[in-house]
Amino acid sequence: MNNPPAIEAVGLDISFGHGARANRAVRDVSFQVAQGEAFGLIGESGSGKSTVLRALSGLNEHYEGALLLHGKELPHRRDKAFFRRTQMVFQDPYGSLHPRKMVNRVLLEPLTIHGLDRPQQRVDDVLTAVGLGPAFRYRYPHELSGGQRQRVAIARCLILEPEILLLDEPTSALDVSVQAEILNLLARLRTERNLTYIMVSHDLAVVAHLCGRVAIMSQGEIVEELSVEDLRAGRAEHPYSQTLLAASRSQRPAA
Amino acid sequence: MAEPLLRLRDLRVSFSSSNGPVEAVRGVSFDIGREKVGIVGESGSGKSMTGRALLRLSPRAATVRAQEMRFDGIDLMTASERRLRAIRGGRISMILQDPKYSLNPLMRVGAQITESCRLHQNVSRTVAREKAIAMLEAVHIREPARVYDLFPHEVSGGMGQRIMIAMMLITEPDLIVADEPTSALDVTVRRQVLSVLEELVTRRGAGLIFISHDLNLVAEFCDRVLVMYAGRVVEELHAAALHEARHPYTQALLRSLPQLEEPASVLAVPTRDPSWHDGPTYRFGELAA
Amino acid sequence: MSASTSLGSWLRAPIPASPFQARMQALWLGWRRLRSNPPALAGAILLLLLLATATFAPLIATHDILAQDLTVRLQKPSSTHWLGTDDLGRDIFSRVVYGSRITLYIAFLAALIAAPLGLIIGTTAGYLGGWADTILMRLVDIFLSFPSLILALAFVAALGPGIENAIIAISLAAWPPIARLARAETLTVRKSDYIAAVRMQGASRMRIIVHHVMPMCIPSVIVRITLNMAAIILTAAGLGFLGLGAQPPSPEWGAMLSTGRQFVMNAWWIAAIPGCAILLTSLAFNLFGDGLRDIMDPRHG
Repeated sequence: MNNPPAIEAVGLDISFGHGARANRAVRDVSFQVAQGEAFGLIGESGSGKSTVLRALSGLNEHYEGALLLHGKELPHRRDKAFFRRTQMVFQDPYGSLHPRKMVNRVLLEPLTIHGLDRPQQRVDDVLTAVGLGPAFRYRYPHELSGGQRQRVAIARCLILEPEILLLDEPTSALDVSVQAEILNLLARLRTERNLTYIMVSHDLAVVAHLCGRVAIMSQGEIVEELSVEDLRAGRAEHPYSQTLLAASRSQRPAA
Repeated sequence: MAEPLLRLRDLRVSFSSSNGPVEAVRGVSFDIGREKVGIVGESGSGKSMTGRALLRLSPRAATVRAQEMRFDGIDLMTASERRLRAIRGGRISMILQDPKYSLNPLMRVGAQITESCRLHQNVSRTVAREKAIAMLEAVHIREPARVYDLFPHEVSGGMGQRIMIAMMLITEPDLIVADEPTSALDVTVRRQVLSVLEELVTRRGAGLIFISHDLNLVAEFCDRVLVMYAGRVVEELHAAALHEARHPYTQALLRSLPQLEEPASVLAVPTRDPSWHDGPTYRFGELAA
Repeated sequence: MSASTSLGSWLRAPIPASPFQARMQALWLGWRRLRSNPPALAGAILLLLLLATATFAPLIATHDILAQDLTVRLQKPSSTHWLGTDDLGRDIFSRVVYGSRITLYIAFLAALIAAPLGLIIGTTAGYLGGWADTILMRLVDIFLSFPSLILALAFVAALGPGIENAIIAISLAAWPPIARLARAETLTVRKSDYIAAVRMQGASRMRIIVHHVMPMCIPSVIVRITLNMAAIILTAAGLGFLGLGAQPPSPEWGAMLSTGRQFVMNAWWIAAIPGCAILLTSLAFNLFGDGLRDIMDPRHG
């Protein structure tokens, strides 16, 4: 392969606590995500999937092993340049927007931090791109619905024009119809902007909709990596993956 | 046909706001027998308000009106607060979404389960303990005697929810209102909890109102499904006949879910037609009057 | 009529067209909540009256506050001296009116020093954690372990009596509870997703504390400092009473109360009038502070 993968994790190990009481939340996790790929991490609560994402994002600096961006190892404390290339969408749109800041200020902030030009033009463009439009500039988060908030959160990520988006259960706090809107938006943005996605979710159908390849995590380890075709067809080998697939299937009877 | 367990006619819940009263529930009517009925809707559809109104547990700011709200011959609208307290937790139980918030963190699991039992049935401590342990066993908790002495933070989410169910069912209620009882749980645990609920409801012949946002889950689990939109029941269906839904909202909801087996490049997004607000509703595939 | 309705619709417009309009709408909402809370409204009106009195003191006062006239000393309230005269024949009404300037000056200046100091120290300690937190909070503990009046007394004793020193002393006693409050608030804010989101944008710690943590702490700090105003005013009056605050012949309420003490048996009004002024002002701040808490605290909104 000529190009190194966009994101690579090698022997990632994350523990909380110290000494004998330390809890190894992630054990020896390795994976590669190519540029432009959408990669899903599936697992139940406590499987360590979100912990992996937080280490990738730089929000948690305490990990062992290596995380590589285009073949170069990332420093544990990330620099500003990293955040221009990698952004994250959080699970709860009610918690990820500052309750006392207008949309306009939320979106201008990253531009000020990184010193980008034409700020107002960029804000209008990105609001249009996520399907809200410039009219939403002067609203406060409490005046927005859950779906609109998540769109603003996505706009906040996109305004820095990153190449990688980390998605932490981006639709699990939303209604099903709004979930469909956001999933459509994420799918469209990925093709338009050639983004690389790493998505964490417990919902197999949601991950399958957006991602091309998935890894199933259980108790801190990746037990199996599958193509989405295998996932849809139920071709899993590890017993845990089979249980998970069976549980997700039985609740979704074919119409 | 005998009188249903619960008979609800024209339930209205409204809140006053600066722009006049806002109705969260607008004329909901249904009968519940000894069966499993699902109420499905998105946030703001009024499904939780309906559930709470049945136990007369609406927030203080809400005004609840109904032409009729009878539970086993008792008029819930006019019953005294004392009478209601005896019914609540005794004959009608409510299971809430997240055990983390509905179990008292400072009380041992066993004490919480026996409390409602001792309160409503006036039994001795030892009898209550035996009943509680039997109940924990019934919700498939291993080593019930050990769990009995644990604190809520020492049990997992799925176990917490099963403890919650045990707590609500120990008084052998006739009607159970479950508001999103499995939404906070993992898929594999969800099945366990549902099967426990199913077993208890079927064995005891109780009525169950299962409130959820997950149409497929409800369709699989319940006998009958009520779809709520903007404070009204827009469609009532036999669970097995879900795919015969007539209302465009129900159809759109079904299509908006990503399917594991059938990939779709773009998901259908329900376009909210203003006419649904007061438009026609459907019962079992027929246009309702 | 049309002007008022268009203003009303501008304030109620669901989509604000400018940041100014959005801010005005927030203010409008706050005003509507204040209006529906009678005690807070009463407090606010009292405070506005007090502010007006202080501002227009020269217009309101009927006599020269320093002019002594021993022929009219210890006179009861009458038509010439509305609230009577003191032991040196000075008009009490005019002195109380001018005294409001001193009281508000002390209260606002002390609040203006204590609130930002407490806010900065509390948020910094809470957000940085670790050593910074330990050192700053132990400092707070040390300050908190002194009763505030005693601490103020000690400072005045060291710096010498006078209004400015009283203000410094009071502020030094007032900031630690604010810092503690701000820290507690910061600890809950720090873990939230919106702070994580700003960190993901590459914001520096300084930027996060100033632009994102502080705005969340400011409302509760304002509420707290408004409620503390009553205590600040009492401390100021206490210092004046003990002769360690404003010095005679300045018409500070505490100092007036102190001189009135000697005549309380035969000229009750000398002590009672400034006493009532202190009481009303403290009460106004307390009522308004309670109302502010209801208005600004999002948990109650």
